[in-house]
Amino acid sequence: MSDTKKPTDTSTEGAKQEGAKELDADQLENVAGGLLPAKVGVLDLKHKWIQDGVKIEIESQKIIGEDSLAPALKK
Amino acid sequence: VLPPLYARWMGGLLDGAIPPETKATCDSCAMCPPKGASAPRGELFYSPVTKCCTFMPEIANFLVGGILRDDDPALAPGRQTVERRIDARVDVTPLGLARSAKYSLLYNQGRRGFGQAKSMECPHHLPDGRCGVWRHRESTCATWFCKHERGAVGQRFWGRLHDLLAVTEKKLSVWCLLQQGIEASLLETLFAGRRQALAAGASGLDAGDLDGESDPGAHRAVWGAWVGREREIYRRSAELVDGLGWDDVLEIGGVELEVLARMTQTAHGKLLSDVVPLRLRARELRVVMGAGRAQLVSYSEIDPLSVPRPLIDVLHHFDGRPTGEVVEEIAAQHDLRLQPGLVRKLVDFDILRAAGDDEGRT
Repeated sequence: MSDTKKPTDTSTEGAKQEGAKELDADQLENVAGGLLPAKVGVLDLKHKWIQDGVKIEIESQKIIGEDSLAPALKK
Repeated sequence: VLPPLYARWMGGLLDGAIPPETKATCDSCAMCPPKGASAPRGELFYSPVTKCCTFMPEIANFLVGGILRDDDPALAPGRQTVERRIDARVDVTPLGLARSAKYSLLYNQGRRGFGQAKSMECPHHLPDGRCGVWRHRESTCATWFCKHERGAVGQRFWGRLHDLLAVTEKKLSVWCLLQQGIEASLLETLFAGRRQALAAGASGLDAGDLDGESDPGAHRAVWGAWVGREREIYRRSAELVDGLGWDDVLEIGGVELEVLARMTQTAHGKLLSDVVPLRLRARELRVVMGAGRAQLVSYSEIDPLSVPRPLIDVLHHFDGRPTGEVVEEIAAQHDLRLQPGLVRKLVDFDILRAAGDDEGRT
């Protein structure tokens, strides 16, 4: 655990907004089943669709491949 | 929950309990479609018949012996599946029950067969949907989960533990044979023969392989005088291993096991930690947009997250600046306050990544 940092202060002190809607972890819900690459679009951080509904290569990121679905056989 | 033997050993290695994976539920499979629903195109569900039991485990000799020695009446149906495998004499060696070449070929070549193909069903998967060898299951079946409570953090830990247990099985199965004084000629067949076959690139299947038939000559070659007494070796192996503490296992496993044990400890420490990196960066998102919510695919396509759409609209603020500063900025500009637990979960699921000095540390 020596290579981890102390918890970041994300408390509601400081620039607290009156009536700001709170989002907590419970609002991130696990989904039954899975999603195939053919179904999933890719957004960049400005919300431009890089690709919609087609599996593509993404530079420097591990593509979710079909082999990630199943445990590998031991060699 | 690990099998009792492995749980005991991990109690000797890990500093604290292993949190349960509550999202991956066998009784009510999280990968099966809701009752009566058909899978829309692009969505992936497992067959309610097979669930994830479309993997034939290789069972080390001491685990086989553990199953044979376990006289719990509830285990009887599962024990019979092991007895059948031994009696079939297909890829049954003193090291344990191996996977057939035909199964491996189909498994590796199959497309989307995992979780769906009835022909790939595990021989120990019982008709009532239970695992017949649950209490003695091997490293892959003990550590593979479709969904993880802590997302990528959990997947990393279980992956490390898998590697540790898989090597443990390999080392101990050999150790068991040495302890029992197995003949040098059989060791030669088991190890040199296998190495030569691999070196020669022997991957072709003959008629017997394709039909799943036993090769009496090959069986005799690996068992020698032990033919007909296969169960003796398995049972004795279980007795030998039962007496081992984790320190004994480490000593037998040598430096390779020591390295894997340390990596498992590190991953376990991270699994127990809920600290958030000081600086975070958003990444490209793989998304299925819906009204009000979106589904995000991050570390695994079989563990997507459904998130409120407004969250998608603020993630670009995470650009490597201090996390607390970004959270305040989002609150000020979007009237949205991200709670620490939510930020942690976004990191766990690899939607936000550590930046700067923290890079590569989560």
